[in-house]
Amino acid sequence: MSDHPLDRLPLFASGELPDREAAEVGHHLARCVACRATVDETRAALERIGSLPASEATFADLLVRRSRARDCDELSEALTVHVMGEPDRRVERHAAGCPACEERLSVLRDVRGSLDLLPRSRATFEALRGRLRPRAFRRMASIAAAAGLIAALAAGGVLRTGPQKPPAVPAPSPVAALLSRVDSADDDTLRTAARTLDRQNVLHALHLAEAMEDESDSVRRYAAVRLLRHLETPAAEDLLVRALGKNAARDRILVRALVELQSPMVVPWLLTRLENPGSRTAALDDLARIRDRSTIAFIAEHLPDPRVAERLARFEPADLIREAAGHRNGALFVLVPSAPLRSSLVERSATDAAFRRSALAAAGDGGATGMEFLIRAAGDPRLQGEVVALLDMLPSAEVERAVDRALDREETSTTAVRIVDALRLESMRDRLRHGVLAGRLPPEATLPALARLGDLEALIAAARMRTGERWKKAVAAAFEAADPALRAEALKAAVPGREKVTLVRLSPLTRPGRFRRDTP
Amino acid sequence: MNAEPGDLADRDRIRRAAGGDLEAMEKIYSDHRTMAYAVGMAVCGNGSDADDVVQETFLRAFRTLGQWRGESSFRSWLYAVAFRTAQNWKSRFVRRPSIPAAAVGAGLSAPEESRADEHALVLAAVRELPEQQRLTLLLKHLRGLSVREIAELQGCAEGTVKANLHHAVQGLARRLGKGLE
Repeated sequence: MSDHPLDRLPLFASGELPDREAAEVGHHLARCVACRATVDETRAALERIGSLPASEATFADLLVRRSRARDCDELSEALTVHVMGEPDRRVERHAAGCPACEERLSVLRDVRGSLDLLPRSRATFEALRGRLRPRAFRRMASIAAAAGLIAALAAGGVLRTGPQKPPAVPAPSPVAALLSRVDSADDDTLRTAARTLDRQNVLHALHLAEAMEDESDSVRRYAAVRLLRHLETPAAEDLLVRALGKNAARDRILVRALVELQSPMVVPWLLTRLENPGSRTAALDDLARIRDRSTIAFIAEHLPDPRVAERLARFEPADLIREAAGHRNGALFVLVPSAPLRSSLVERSATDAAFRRSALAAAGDGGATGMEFLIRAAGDPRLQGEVVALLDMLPSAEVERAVDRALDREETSTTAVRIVDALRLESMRDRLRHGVLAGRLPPEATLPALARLGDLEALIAAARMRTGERWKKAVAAAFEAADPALRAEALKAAVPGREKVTLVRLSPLTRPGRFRRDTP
Repeated sequence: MNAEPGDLADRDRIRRAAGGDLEAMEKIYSDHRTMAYAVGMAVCGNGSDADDVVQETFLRAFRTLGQWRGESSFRSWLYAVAFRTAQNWKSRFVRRPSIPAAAVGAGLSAPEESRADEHALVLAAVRELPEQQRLTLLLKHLRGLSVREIAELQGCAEGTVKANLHHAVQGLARRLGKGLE
């Protein structure tokens, strides 16, 4: 087949081939039945096209326009890379003669300028220096860590193994001694030391909690958090809980410590704090960090408040599903960004009409997270119509943002394409085109959507780039879905050559013809 | 071995840092600090947590320098450390910004308020991008790495980096209302 002058046949058929090449092609046609048939089909198609209103554009104009448009497409990523600091001469040359790309460059530069507003790092090596130890010291410290800690505890009176003389000079407190070494100790050593400390004197837990909150010394804070995480005995938790409410200034510190311990013992205290609007936000946050399943119902009472749904997302999906089933704010669980929960709520919406109404209403009012639920629901054929109608009534910018995000995720991309198709979201056209040509979006749904959005160039590009049966069928089906006037327009404006061959093959105007013969 | 070019000096510096040489550590810190910050910003979404990620990254890196065997470039190794550190930090300490958008810039003069609004808007727009796009954008913009260098760090094709960068800038333009089609 490589001897067949397929690229030149359309030009030969339209009489636009230079004489010498026309002679070569004529010579080939004299002995090739298949190419003769192609030329005949192309001539017939061109005659039909000839009956359409004539375009004012000359062939040269078309050629330049098409070539430039192709360059614009191919350079779209290069434009971004160029503006982001890797200059590209191709881009400069192209933009010099293309006002559209010049304009795009200017917008991209503007976006890049906005990025300069992002905060810059203020971290310094000086701040880190205090936390670093020379290697030799560290090696020695790691060998002697356990012994050193135990000695420190003993010096502070924490380990009492027998009668001892009082120290001649005041020894550092056990906590202070621990904190001074904790930065160089490994986790096992810490765990051992923390258990001993806790067993002997749980009051040290309180000191650790205070150290954890010490804003003036980040090393001490860090060390305290590390030690506190190893205090797992109920005695320490009990002490911290009992201290709550006795000194208001310390309450926050104690709660932080208990939350750090993931202690359920602080839950009742936190629940009382929920009633006070002033302390509610912090209490909700702490409850979410503890993740005790018994608190889901209490937290869900505040689902109408901002960011409560995000906090609920930290809990186990199975617990959320169970709680949503019987909670009076059950419909508001659609705002919780948890995939298993959403699947369960979609199923419930499909089977329970009353719940569906309230769930869709809550999602419609729920901003970005509500929109994510709607997109997932639109993937269910039982809900699709109702959801698309609802999306059509919501602010288009919000819908487009959600669809944009959904196109990036494999599990929602097909649904997102269907929404673009149903709502005719013109602004998503480029996203669909790039997505489908890059193989990220399914051609069966995306190409017809592009055709209905009037993007026949995408179909031409797909027909050229992809040759598998799946793609052929998807392109042909999409071409059928396009507006007939647009089809004719595309055929007319196509540059003679491979582009025209592609279109002629696809266009229903030319069937039955080569395409049908090639199809089993 | 894929270490960056020129890297006898770098290797020597890393060896010295592994031995506890603070001067060598400081040089490594200043060379790679911005990369760690970009990773921290991309994962945690704010400058203050990103600064903490920088410190934790280098603390962890300097303690485990012996684990770098020179089979990958040092920068790739450090990137992996920064990424893991940032994810840990995010899961443990990062809370969603609790300041409502309306409160941004409260108490400031009009021009300062407008500037604060713009800062918050850009930060929010960056936060809304998918994580991979955010990472690529910030490594490019804050650290100025080339597409090839970012591809090497992320273990993907240069085309993927270009596409991520392109989508990130497009997404940003849309979210900032810059009118890019």
